[in-house]
Amino acid sequence: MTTAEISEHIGEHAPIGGNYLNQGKGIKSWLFTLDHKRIGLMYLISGLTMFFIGGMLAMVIRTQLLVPNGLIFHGSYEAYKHYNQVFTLHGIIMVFMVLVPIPPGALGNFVLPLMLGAKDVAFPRLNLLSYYLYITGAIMAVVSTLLGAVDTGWTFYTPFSIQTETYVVWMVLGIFLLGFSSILTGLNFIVTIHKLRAPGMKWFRMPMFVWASYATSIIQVAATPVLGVTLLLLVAERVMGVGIFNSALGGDPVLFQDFFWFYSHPAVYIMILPAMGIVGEIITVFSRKPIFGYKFIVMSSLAIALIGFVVWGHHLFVNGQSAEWDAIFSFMTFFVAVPSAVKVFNWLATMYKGAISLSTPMLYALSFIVLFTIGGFTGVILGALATNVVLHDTYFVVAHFHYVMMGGTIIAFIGGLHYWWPKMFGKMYNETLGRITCVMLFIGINLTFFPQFIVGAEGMPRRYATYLPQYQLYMIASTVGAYIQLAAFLLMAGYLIHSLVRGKKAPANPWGASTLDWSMASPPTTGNFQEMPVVTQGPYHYDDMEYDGRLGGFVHVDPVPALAGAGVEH
Amino acid sequence: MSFNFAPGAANIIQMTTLKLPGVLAAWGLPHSDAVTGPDVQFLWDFILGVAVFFTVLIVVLMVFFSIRYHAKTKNQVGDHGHTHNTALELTWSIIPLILLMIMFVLGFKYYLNMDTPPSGAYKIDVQAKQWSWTFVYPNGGISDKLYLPAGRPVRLDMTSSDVLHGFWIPRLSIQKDVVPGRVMTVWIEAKKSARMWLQCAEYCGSGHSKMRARVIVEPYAQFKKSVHAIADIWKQNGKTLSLAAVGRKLHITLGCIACHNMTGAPGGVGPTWKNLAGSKVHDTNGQVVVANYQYLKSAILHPGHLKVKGYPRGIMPNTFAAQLKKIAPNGRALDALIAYINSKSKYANQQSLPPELRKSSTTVQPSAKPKTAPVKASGLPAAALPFVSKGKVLVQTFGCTGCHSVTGASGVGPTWKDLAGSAVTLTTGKVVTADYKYLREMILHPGTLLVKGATAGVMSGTYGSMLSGPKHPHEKKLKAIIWYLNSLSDHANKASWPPGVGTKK
Amino acid sequence: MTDDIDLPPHALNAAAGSSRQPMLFVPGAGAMGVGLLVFSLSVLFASSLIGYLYIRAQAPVVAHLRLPNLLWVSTAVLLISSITMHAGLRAIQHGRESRLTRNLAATFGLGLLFLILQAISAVDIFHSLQLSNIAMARVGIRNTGGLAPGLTPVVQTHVLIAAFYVFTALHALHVIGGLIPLGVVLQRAINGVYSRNYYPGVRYCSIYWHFLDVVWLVIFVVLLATF
Repeated sequence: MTTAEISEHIGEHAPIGGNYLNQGKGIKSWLFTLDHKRIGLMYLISGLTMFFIGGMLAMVIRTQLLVPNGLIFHGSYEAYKHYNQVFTLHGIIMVFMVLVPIPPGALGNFVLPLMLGAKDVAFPRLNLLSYYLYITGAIMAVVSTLLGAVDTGWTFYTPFSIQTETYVVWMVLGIFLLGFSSILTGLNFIVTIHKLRAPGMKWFRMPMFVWASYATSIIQVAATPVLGVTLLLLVAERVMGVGIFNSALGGDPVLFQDFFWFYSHPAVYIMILPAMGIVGEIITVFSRKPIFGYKFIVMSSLAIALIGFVVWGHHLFVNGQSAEWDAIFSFMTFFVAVPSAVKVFNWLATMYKGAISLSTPMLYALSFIVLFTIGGFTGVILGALATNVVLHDTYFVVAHFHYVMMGGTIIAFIGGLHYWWPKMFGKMYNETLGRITCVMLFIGINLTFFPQFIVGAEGMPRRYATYLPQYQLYMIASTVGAYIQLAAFLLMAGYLIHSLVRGKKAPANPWGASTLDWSMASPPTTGNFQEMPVVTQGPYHYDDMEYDGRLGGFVHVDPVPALAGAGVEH
Repeated sequence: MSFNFAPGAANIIQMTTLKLPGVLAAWGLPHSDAVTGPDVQFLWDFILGVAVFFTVLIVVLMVFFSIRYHAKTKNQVGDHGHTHNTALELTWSIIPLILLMIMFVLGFKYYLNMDTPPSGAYKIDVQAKQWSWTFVYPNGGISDKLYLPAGRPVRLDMTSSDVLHGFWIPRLSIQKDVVPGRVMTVWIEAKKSARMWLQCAEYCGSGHSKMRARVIVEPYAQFKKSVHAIADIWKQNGKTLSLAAVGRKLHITLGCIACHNMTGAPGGVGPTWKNLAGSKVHDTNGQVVVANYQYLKSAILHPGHLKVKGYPRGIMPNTFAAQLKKIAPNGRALDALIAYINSKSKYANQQSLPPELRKSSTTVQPSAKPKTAPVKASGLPAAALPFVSKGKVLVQTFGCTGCHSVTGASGVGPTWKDLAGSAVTLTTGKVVTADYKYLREMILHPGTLLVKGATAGVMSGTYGSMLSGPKHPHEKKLKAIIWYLNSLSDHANKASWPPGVGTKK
Repeated sequence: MTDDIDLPPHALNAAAGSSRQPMLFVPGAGAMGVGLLVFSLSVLFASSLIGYLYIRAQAPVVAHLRLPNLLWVSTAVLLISSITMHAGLRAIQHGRESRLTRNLAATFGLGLLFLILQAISAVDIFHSLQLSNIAMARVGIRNTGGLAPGLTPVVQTHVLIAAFYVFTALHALHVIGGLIPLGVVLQRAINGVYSRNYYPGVRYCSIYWHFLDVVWLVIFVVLLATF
């Protein structure tokens, strides 16, 4: 195949300059778009903005904790209250506006229909509504912050959240809307996966990421309503004095915790499952070998989603729950660890006898495996009852969930962003800077959060504006790590923005991936596929493509029945 | 903003040279002084051992594969033959499952032991509030420090008067949330003398990070001395203290200091106490009142009626009246607190001072003997009169009068006026006489007999344990209360008198 | 199945790849979407009822209240509206378009009537709230604030009333949320959009409306049993 022929093919399917980014101009064509890719990009931009704000709040927290009496807020309860507001906002923004909505909202929206061979999600208008609910919720959160930022912690535990004078009602209603956005996105994805698969795309021919999104969506639809009710009752509690969560009125504060975690623990799986899906995709592509134990990985995703519904009580081991319930929840918590372990071993087995290239996305995937393993094992320590009692509500817990959320979800999300960046924007970023940033982030995350394990086990509780002087060494190390992370993210923002302006044009398939999302030109056109693709085999197969140095990407060489719409000459 | 790193630097040097190697040697978990400590340590070591083994295995394999199977050319593809292996996959599902189940069983076994208080444990009440801890010892002593006897199990019954708090002593391997509206129980047995920190682990608002208390584990003999010393707040090292000095102690032990500072610094939860006594206070109606003795007294006893500008109502707990009464039923503890407030005020004057410190007043007897109101004898034996007055004090301390009036007025529970010895109709329709046995049963087990019109569960079943002392469960205090009940009743007779004093004659 | 089609056939002609989003032809997607939404909302109602019943089971009630009798009427109204909704669906399945319009209009009207009756009940029970406050003042329990020392918690009357408000308001919001699409469908029925072969909007509204019916019945039974 000659270059001319190839360009002709590209030209045939993506008219010069014609793609979803420039088909339709003006701000209105974005604000009212029904294109899943544009909505995905809007989620991405909103989410990264939120991540930046949440990240800067984290820097405030870390700076405060440089000295035992607090560097920024010190000397009075009023000052500590400001610190409490900062960590509360950090938590709320990161959980409800970044970790839960953005992996499905940004990457899921962009990639899912492409992977399925669909032109869009099942309900494009509903998809846009989800996005605007997200934005409205975020705006309400901002309003509440301007009126009087909440100081309850992101968990809103009663009765403190009933008594505090900050603007809890506004914030909670904002999060309620974010929850509805999440439900509608999940609903949309489930129907899309059920109804919009391309001909021949059987259930067990779907890529890992689709399965992960499917499992995520089930949780979103089934668990999020409970968050909605919890938050509405909290509002009713503040406005009317219902008394359900308030011991002073005959209610039970522990019931609030049960309700809250009935959503919020499955929500942890909403956050981590898409990340696992992304990592699965990256590892198979950059090992150039089909994923090892496809069905085991698929089943483990579904198992995590389902068992994830019955482990919430492990957040309540020290609040007077009966020992029988403690035992049940502890047992289920250990049980849910198995599918996670299976995934890690299967990813490693995929690398065995592969042809591995350590490109930026692959480095992120490998970082994920290490960080997630550490986060997972420390979760096992917390799941065991006797050790939980000693470590509950300490920095050990903070470190554990930051390893899983930051080292897991965010690292995988950033890896996925690098992986699909050429498809999203049609530009290649600087590979060297990409690898350097990944290493910086890996070091930064470990330096930030590993000392927190030790300091927690040593006796430092979480959510402390000030601390005993003997913990200072660890706190300083942690802060230095946070600044390294900040530097890495700034560098990343720099080279990614640079790539948009000056980046090399991306080929259709720069990594040699075999899933349908790489079968069209980069970036795709509004309708994704010129012809309906017909699928005849599983998602991962690397023998039928070849690297073309002039294009900088892979092209198919054999008859490719799987990718009839892929723009390859037979 | 202060950028003083100097004390930190000394700490860091100390830690890196002395502490860090120890921390690493112990795999991070602090040395525990509790009898349950070795269990927790073993489980921690076991899980951490497994974790380190697998983490190292995973990282080594990952790095090895990345190097060994590094693609030489872009077109190289991986080996097809290895896309699944059910036996292998089942192996690495089942091995983790077995290891995890071992961890679960160990964790649960040790936890059951940690969660079940042994019978006969020494009992201390813990009161948590924003943002201080108060410990009430069986002899009535109140302290902001937790004294524990080495080598003996201690049971802690914990309550919160506002929001959630977390009782955490890492070096005693124990943590429990203190949930408002419930009594939360933990038990501790420390192995040897030590000093450590109790820290609040459950987020509770602005002062969360300052909500900590000293924990002092002492040999049993020393512990008994310490607790004895706490109970006598009027003395220190055998010398009688001035009223203001006692107030200074109460300011700390009752936790007033958490909200009311003595330095005059602004930004506290409640108003500062510096220069408060005798000063002018603005209330929410725009009126100005003088903080004289009466004002201070009612502010402490009835905080719900306060209307101080800039300080919302309902923040200050209304539990202080009962606590102060428990310390000194004659109101001297309250006077001590007010004397202390006066001692720190430049506006202090005769009207703001407690009566016994006023210059014009005659010398007040320093004794702490409660002045008891004359009790209606209604034919009770003279020997019972001290019990009657003691009973009256107990009744007020426990807040019985919140539900049971002594005047005949109706309330949540039946009035106590003319109750003893009278005829009572039960829900079953049966009519019984309110004799000693009946009264005793009603107080100790309120659910078993139900008076007509009453609802089960309204009256707490905890009075039995509240009345019990370390040596004489129930009897002494219970009898005193029942003597008091008899004193209120015209129907009182020998059958309704407690056995002992009166009946011996 | 043809009755599962989401959009009128002419929408399918929109050109792929144009700046306007191409319309999708997805058999069965709409019904599945409505089904999932109903499932999700069921979880919402179920969890709020479980929370209430849990608190209610913890402790005895100080004073019992009577539910307004009007609730029986509003329940009947909602049940009838479910019947008219179903009649509408059956009508269009047999191609009787004017009967569809009549039944949809009746459903809409009954839905509005239901909301008005619920509002009257809510005002009614507000008076019992004031009565119960007086009752509680008499037995010495303050409506807000801490419990007397040593007193075990009791469920106070206003917890029941507040639960009543929360449930009816939550349900009423969903009724309002159902009236809006029902209004749209009614308008489209008047315009003659639906036919024997094409009536997805009617179907979705019908699923949702029956769901509202069932949820209210469950709430009503729970209130009857616990007040």
